[in-house]
Amino acid sequence: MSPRSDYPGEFEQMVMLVILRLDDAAYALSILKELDRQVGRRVSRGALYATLDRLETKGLVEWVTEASTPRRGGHPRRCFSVTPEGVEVLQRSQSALLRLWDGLDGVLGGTA
Amino acid sequence: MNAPRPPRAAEWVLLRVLGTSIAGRSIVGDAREEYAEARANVGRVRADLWYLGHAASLATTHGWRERLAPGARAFANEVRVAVRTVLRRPASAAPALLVLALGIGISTFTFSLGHSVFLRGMDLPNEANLLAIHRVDRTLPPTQADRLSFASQDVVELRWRLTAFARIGTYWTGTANLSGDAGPVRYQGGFVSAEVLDMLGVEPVLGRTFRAGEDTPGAPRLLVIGHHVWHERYGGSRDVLGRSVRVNGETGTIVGVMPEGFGWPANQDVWITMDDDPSATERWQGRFYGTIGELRPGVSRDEAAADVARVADALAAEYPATNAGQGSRVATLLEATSSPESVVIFLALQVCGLLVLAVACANVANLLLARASARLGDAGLRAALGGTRFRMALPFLAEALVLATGGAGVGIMLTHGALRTFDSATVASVTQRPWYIEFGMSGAALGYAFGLVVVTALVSGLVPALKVAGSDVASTLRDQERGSTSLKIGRLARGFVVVQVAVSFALVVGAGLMTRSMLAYTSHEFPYDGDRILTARVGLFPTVYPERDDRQRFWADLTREVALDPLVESAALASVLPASVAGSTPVQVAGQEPHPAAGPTRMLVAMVGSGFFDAVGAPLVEGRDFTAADLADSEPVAIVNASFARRFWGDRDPIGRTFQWGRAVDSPELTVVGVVPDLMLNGFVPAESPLAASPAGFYVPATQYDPSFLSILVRTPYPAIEFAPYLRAVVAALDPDLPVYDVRSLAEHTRNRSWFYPVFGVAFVILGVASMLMAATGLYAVLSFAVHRRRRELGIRRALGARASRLAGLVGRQLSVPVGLGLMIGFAIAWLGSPALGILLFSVGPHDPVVLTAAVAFLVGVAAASGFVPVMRAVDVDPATAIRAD
Repeated sequence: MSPRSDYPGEFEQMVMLVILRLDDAAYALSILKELDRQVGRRVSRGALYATLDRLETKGLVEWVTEASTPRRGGHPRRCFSVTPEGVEVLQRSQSALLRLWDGLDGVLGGTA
Repeated sequence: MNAPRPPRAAEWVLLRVLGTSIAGRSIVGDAREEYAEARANVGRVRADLWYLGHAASLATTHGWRERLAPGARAFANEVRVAVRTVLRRPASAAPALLVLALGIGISTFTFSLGHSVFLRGMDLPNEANLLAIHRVDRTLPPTQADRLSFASQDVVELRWRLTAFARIGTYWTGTANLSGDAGPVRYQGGFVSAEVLDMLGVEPVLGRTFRAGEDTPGAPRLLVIGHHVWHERYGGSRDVLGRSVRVNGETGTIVGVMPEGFGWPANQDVWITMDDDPSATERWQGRFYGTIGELRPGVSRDEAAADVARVADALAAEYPATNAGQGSRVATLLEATSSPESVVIFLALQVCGLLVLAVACANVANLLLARASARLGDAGLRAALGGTRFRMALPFLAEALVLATGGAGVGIMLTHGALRTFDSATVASVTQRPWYIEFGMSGAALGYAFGLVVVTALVSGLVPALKVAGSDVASTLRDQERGSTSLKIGRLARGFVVVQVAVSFALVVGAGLMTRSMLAYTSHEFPYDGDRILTARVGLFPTVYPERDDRQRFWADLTREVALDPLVESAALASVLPASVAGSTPVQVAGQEPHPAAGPTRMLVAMVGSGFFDAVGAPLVEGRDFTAADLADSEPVAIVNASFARRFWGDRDPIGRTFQWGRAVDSPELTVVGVVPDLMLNGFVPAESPLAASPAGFYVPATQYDPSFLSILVRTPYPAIEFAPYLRAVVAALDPDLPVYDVRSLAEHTRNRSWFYPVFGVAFVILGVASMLMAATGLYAVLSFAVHRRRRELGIRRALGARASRLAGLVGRQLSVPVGLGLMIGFAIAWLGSPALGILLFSVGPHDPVVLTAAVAFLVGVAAASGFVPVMRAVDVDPATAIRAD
């Protein structure tokens, strides 16, 4: 991974954070709903699937399949989780941002 | 219910595009899950639309773009160019767009109707494993012999003898008067064996369905109620479970609520456990049951049919007294509810839709052909630069595709509106349309429209494309410079005119027949003023009215009390209202016994109270009306209608003559005391309709028999419906627990019985008008193009001294041959095809000479008018300008 791509994009970070929040219930549809609920962000399914594919290629998320239900017409369901690399990338990104935020409260009016 | 299935075609495409990897399939699974949610929240139509959009978006975002072959990419480029061309000059594309919008829209509309009725199914989870089992009575005429119920004793035999079915369920339908816990209301009841609802596979939304053993004689009555009953009567309360309610005078307990929209078998509102004991009655004396069977795994429909036939034959051999001549038939549940007439109607509509589309395709092909010749220079340039023939043909296909897609977009919007209108014009309360039918835009219809876009683009784009690709561009261009035949497309264009005129003629004839039929329908004169007669129905159950005298007293009280109001001119009872089809019964007239092989002579019969003929404004032609003295122990009497009298006694006086009602030797002998005109005992169908049964029938006094269900007719000097509250109050005063239902004016009743004449009439008229419009625009376009191509030639002829009339004749002759040929072919199509409309026609024959003549005149007029402008333009052309023009 090049140094530039050490930091995932904003949407990628959101998706990973939501997966972490949902714990073992992180399916594509629940991720969509959680994104909408937590940050009011409505994204197309296509964009979400593309992001999940990309994060998987980068080794930041992984998934296991769950048995199907009749409601899904016999199709499997993927349950996503963030890999240890993914967690590390998120931590790095968080501390970088915090460093950048540090001392700017006066300019940005504070966040409390 | 099981998880609903999204539009199959869209899911198939999605699976193709996303592949069968776990990731791909999981996305398809997600989509299914979301679809199920959408179905529950916003209904089928919007869920289907959502799914289609979703599938399209996923298919494009997941890599079709990259997978395109070079040829396809070139085509995509041409499509882009075509889109720009259309957007830059919308006016020149407008006629083609309009024509395609009508063609694709109408075709999709007719497809949607057929799809909703015959293809979509009932959405029952276990539908594929279920078959309806019918009795066939080979002793009856074919139209009445099929789809009959089994006697309860035969069902007992079927249950233990059939091997092809895992379970057999039975039901009968009838009135379910609910009272006790709220006001009395009459519902459509389904009296079912315990396993039936479970066999269908539909899960209740609340509570449960019935369990084995709950349908045994003497077991407590249990009810499962429909979703709308739950909401209307119980406000959607969950406390409804376990609630006690009076059903037809007995106490029952509600155990479940079915999901919204469920109404199997025939728009039922409530389902009640049956408690009949077949052994309590003689063979064939008790109830008759509808029967369905659930196939054992691995058993085919044919094997099941053979199994049922085997048992039916065995029963016929063992019980010849009742079962001789009785056969069997199996059908899917959907087939069991679709009438053969509706198949004909929807097929006819479908064919018309496709014909309209054919006209549209011919029209657009012609337009593109005209444009092809104008674009030869472009093609020549491509050829000179080494373009292949394929590349030369591409722009035409692309343009056709763009036009078809644009047309389809507009067409789908039109269809959506038309389907909504059709849906509200055919509401179940008027048409009794089956519960599972809902008219609206569906995924399948959109898929069909998409298919039409492809077909239309190919049909209308291929001809000009091939013509250009197959031409020797250099010599064609030289030809064009000389102002002559250019692409040699004259014959083709004329061919399209023939197709257009032929198909339009056939459709115009259809529309004309429907218009005449509707005029006849709306101006039909009844012997009575239906808006001034109020009708309502009441049913008495032995649980509340155990004795015959109790029932007779109620009917007498009801008539008397209603007539007490000074504004009531007349009040009478009848088992069947005019315009409803009465039951038929065997009759025998001494000395006129039918040939034994012909089976018994059947006549229509109705029970009426005294004053009925006065109430419907049809006084007796001869003899007397029934009176209060016609009682069970007095001489059995009958009033026959004119057709009955003519059928048996010709011109002889029927009064005082006798006939036997029924097959048995000891069946009652009735004496004719009066004759009335025919009063639509065979329903509101004109005599010449293929549906019309013989109107011959007779009336007997209700007081001599023991009817449980009767309608009351109240004639007033005011709009009848204003009398409804009074009538309800009278019934409530007599029996506060008795529901009054089907309260409407006789006029409304008549309209409800014949709703299909105006509804389908309008549908066909719209088809006809659309095709007329298309024929007119198509002919105009083709002719003006033809004249335009010959401008130089005409100019030279003019310069050489040809008179204007001669030139007009020249062009006119060119037009007359294809139009004449088209008319002849169209006449043949109309002649052969219009009898299919027979059942929808009211008092108009399918070969009505007025309509045929008017259609010929109309199309000749349209052709002349469309030819007139271009011909005048050609004649007016200044020779010098024309020669210089190219």
